[in-house]
Amino acid sequence: MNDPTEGSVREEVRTWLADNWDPNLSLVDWRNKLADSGWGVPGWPKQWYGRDLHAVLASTVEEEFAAINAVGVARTGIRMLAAATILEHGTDVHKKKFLRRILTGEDTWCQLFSEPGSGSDLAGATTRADYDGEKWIINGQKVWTTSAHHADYGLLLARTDWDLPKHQGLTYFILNMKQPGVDVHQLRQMNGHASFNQVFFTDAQIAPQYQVDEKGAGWKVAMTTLAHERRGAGGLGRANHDSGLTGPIYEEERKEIATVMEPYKWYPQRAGRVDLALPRARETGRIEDANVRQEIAKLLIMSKSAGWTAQRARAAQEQGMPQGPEGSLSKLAASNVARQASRVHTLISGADALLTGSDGAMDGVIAEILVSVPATSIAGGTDEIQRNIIAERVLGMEKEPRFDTGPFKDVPKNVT
Amino acid sequence: MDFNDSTEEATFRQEARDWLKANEPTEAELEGLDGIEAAKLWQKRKYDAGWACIRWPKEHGGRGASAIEQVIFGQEESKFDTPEGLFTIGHGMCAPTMMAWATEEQNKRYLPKLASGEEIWCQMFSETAGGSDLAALRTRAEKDGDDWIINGQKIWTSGAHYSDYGVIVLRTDPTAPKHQGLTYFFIDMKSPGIETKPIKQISGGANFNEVYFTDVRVPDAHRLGAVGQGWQVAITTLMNERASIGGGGGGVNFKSVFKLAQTVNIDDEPAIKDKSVRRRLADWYIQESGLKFTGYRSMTALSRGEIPGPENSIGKLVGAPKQQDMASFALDLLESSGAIWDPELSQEAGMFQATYMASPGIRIAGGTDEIMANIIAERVLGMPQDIRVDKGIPFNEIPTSNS
Amino acid sequence: MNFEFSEEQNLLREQAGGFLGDHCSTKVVRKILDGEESYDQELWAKVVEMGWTATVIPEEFDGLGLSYLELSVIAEELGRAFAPLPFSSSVYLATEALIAAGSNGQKEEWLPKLAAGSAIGCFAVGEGTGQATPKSLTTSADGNGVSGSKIPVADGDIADFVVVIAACASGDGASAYLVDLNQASVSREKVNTIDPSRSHAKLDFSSASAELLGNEGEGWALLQKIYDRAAVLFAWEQVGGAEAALEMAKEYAMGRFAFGRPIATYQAIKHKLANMYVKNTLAKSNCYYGAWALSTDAAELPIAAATARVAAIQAYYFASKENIQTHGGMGFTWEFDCQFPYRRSKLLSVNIGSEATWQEKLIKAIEEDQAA
Ligand SMILES: Cc1cc2nc3c(=O)[nH]c(=O)nc-3n(C[C@H](O)[C@H](O)[C@H](O)COP(=O)(O)OP(=O)(O)OC[C@H]3O[C@@H](n4cnc5c(N)ncnc54)[C@H](O)[C@@H]3O)c2cc1C
Ligand SMILES: Cc1cc2nc3c(=O)[nH]c(=O)nc-3n(C[C@H](O)[C@H](O)[C@H](O)COP(=O)(O)OP(=O)(O)OC[C@H]3O[C@@H](n4cnc5c(N)ncnc54)[C@H](O)[C@@H]3O)c2cc1C
Repeated sequence: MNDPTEGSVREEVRTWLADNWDPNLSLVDWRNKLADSGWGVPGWPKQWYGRDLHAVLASTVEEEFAAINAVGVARTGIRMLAAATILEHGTDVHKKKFLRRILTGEDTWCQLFSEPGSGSDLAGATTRADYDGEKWIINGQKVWTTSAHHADYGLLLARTDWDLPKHQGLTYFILNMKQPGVDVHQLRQMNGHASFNQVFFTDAQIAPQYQVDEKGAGWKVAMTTLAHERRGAGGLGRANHDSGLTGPIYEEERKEIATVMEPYKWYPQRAGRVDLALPRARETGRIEDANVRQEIAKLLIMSKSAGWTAQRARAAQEQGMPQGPEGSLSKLAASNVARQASRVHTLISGADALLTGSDGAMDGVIAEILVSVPATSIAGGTDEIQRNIIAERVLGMEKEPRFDTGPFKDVPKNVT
Repeated sequence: MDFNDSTEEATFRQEARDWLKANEPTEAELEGLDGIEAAKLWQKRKYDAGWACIRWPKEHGGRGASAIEQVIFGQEESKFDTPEGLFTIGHGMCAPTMMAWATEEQNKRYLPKLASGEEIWCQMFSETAGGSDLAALRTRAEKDGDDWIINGQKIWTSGAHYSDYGVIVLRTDPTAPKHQGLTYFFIDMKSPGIETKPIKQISGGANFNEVYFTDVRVPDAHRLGAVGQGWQVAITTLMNERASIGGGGGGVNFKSVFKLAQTVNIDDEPAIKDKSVRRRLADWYIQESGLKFTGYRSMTALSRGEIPGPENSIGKLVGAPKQQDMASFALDLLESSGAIWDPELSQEAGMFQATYMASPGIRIAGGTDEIMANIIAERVLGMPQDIRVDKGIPFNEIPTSNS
Repeated sequence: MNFEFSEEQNLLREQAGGFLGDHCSTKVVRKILDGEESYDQELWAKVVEMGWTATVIPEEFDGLGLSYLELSVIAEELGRAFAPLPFSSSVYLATEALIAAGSNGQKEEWLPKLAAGSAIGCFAVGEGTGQATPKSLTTSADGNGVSGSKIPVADGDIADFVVVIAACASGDGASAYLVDLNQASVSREKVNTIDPSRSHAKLDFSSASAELLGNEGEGWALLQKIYDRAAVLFAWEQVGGAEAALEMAKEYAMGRFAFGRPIATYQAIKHKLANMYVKNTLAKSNCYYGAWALSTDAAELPIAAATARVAAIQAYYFASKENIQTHGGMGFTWEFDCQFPYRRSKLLSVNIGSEATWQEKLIKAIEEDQAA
């Protein structure tokens, strides 16, 4: 058989869609068809719901779906990170049990990595997994877990060996969230939203077959998950068709997205809302002020160069180059942009920037920017850590002396 | 709270002012003298009248005045255009070290001549191997009878080429941990075996030197502190260095940049009308004013006979980068003519360009910005010291840049 | 040279700090932040009892007749405690307006009540987005009284009277009015702000009966005068808050471990805190200058006030945001106290004219000083 070409793929998917696409199907029924045919995730292996297509051809498939407003597989939240990790490190048992229901959207996932005592120092996790001869028993606490309150499964990083150096004593598990030993509490942020959870484990259980990869390989597996996260696989999956469409399958999909999006609704504000700077300056007349103009100019320069840098990185990846530490550059640039944007908005709004909710400028959006921006330089790796990464991995500078290379039990840490 | 002098302070100020007015060197007197000769002339005149190094005890050539009187005299003297700068290191750093560590006979011999300006002193601490990390220095001294024999090289020694004496820290025991193998001396710069070579700075001047030592002999009697105690003695010098370098009020300041902004145009209007220029200026004004009033707070402590608080340590850290930024801003205001550096053609006889070129050095000399920030974090805020990889290890086993 | 507070003033600082430590812990601030109450009435009663509201009110109006140095000391400590009180509105603004421009009758009516804390005053200038100027004002007065809307008005929901800056056709374009808030032709509505531990309101006036405060057409000049005085006191609150933020950051950094060491051993953190210290120290020294100028009615007050204000705005904002950063993720939670200085720093910085406004005032004052 010939290698598929853009033309042949386009032809094939068109025909398949013409025969199968039916907006009156239920969301799950339709997505089961996608899983069976491999058209839902054409980049995945044939054996596992895909068609082994190259990324470029996979996007051709997406175009065809978009052209007729056909709904795709579920992509939102942590589920795609779970899928990618399972594809790379999971057993056939994992793949069989989880992948299809990830694609259909029947199962929701969360990521159980950060802990109160370990954020920057993710490998310092102290949540423990102890094997009692039959199953793993989990005790400890995770934090900043998006969607934990409605997740079915969690990707868990836990310590299985305290005598080894910290990176070597971690193991990766798939945890059933719907069990008695798992307690989920909302975590309220400084800006008033409660988008995250704290998850407490008291003798929660995991059957041995839900360990992912080797015992002690947890750090390596977590790196896979994080690499996909940085590449933007998780999070805010968008519907690939316009919003005016009616019909039961669209309603179902919209509801799915709204649920997932709920915790993220302040994210645009935390990024600073650069888009609002010029319109706000015009609307308020502050555009006439030389200061305001200069600060906006500074903001737009920062934001544009950040955008172009990100685009270069993306282009490099599309060329097949591995994703490098340049991600840290974008992350750091995003913090700087957010802070400058917050500055610009205060400058434009004056005392009005104080008002929140419906009393405030733009229904409180401006005030929400001010209280949300501090998260940008912390979440997903603080500015200080990004600078360390740039210094060490981009510029090749030496690492700081380390005091955490011995047996983990002897490493100085906050005990929780 | 007030800015007024106490009665005694006011009397003293008046006395100082009267004397300065009557004795300021005239243009005719300075005619034909170079900078060093002019500075010496003025220093000798102050000394003869009892106005030199006034804080020092009388028997060391001073006046036995109080700290606040010293500040007052400094304020009054700065209103006159008197030759200055030459003795900063000797008076500000070497002398206090001598007073703390030398014998009384030595102080009687050396300090009056230092006060009178007849003898100039320099400070030979830095080496290529260690500036911030002073204790990494490698210049050796080996005991030979009643003498020590010095071999090695110092660098960045300001004024070495015209100095008569210098203070120096040397390694006397390379097998001891690095801070414990050092010994402190003062040394006659005319000793055989000393060679000074000026280093040209990026500002074009050549005020500092490399100093080479080849079998130079220094008598053991010129040792300050015990053998192996050099680090503690050096601390005395450094504490005084940071106090004497201070905020650096000269050169480019708010006043000069404000004036410049009134004279140059942006979009056919004086630059001072531009809102963003005004904002930048306002920020510098508040920094300058903050430093000034921080100084007043320290002065108040002095005037009450107390020791100034830690707020004093910020002067250099704020002042040096501020000068650099203001000079850079001034050059931008001048647009393409900002590039011209010529006493005839440049605004203010090239002061903006000169400061632009000199300020990088101010941010390094006497403790870099980073070292000053460490000092504030550790000594003022009480945060832990940096993690050290050189503690307790014999000096000759510590990793270095180039050995 | 005596550029220091007196022993008695330092004693007062200690007392005030101790008192607020006991009665205004962050738990108290949190209670107001989370609850419906506009301010902590119990704490207010105690503060009044200590005589703080009476500090600079002349003795003839039942005040203590103390100097602005004492008031500066109190302001610094209130700022350090993020006190959820209408102190700035009532004391730095309304009281000052009455002292500066009130007729004898107006003073007799209000000052004793302000001193005794039985009346709370507030101050209304802004009318929405952007900087207020005489030209931008739409609130105005005619024979029937004051009409228009003011938003946001700090403590407008709980105050007994308000000083309103209204447009005026003559003079400098504005006049100040004293308006009793307990009348039907004023409606007030609490508004939500970035710092719910300090309440704000929207005030609507429809021909509200009002008394002229000072002369007609001199309102804008009066406003500048009051702002110059209030700016110094705001700046002291800001510096107190900035120092509290630094203290919080330091305490956390010393106890928090990452990668096997306390984060206080990382220079990224040490230098961050050193920078906070530098900014705080400069701002504080400028506040000393402001306090001196305010307490002696010095001609330099406009310069001193702007200098203190801008420095304090910058220092507080910097300290409060970097304090969150030092705390990492926990700093961004509702549960931690980092939100208090962060919210308050922004509130105080836009409350009586923002950074840009005061930078402009500073340069203008220097120009005027030079021309004179
Ligand atoms: C809004 C928000 C959303 C988040 N979402 C998620 C999520 O979805 N999933 C998840 O797992 N986590 C999430 N997090 C957690 C986040 O990843 C951590 O907060 C972050 O990595 C910092 O870790 P920490 O909070 O433990 O701070 P720490 O590591 O305790 O840091 C405290 C301070 O020390 C500094 N520091 C630490 N180590 C060094 C060093 N080596 N050198 C210099 N400075 C250092 C830090 O920069 C910081 O300033 C979220 C956090 C926030 C605020
Ligand atoms: C104008 C001028 C005049 C001088 N006059 C004299 C003189 O008269 N006598 C004399 O003895 N010396 C003199 N010096 C030398 C001066 O004291 C040193 O240059 C200075 O201490 C810095 O040392 P270094 O040049 O070896 O730089 P390094 O110590 O090599 O520093 C290089 C960089 O590393 C940083 N760094 C070093 N250590 C740390 C640390 N622990 N943490 C964070 N950052 C660090 C520094 O901040 C700097 O940015 C003079 C220098 C100048 C510029």
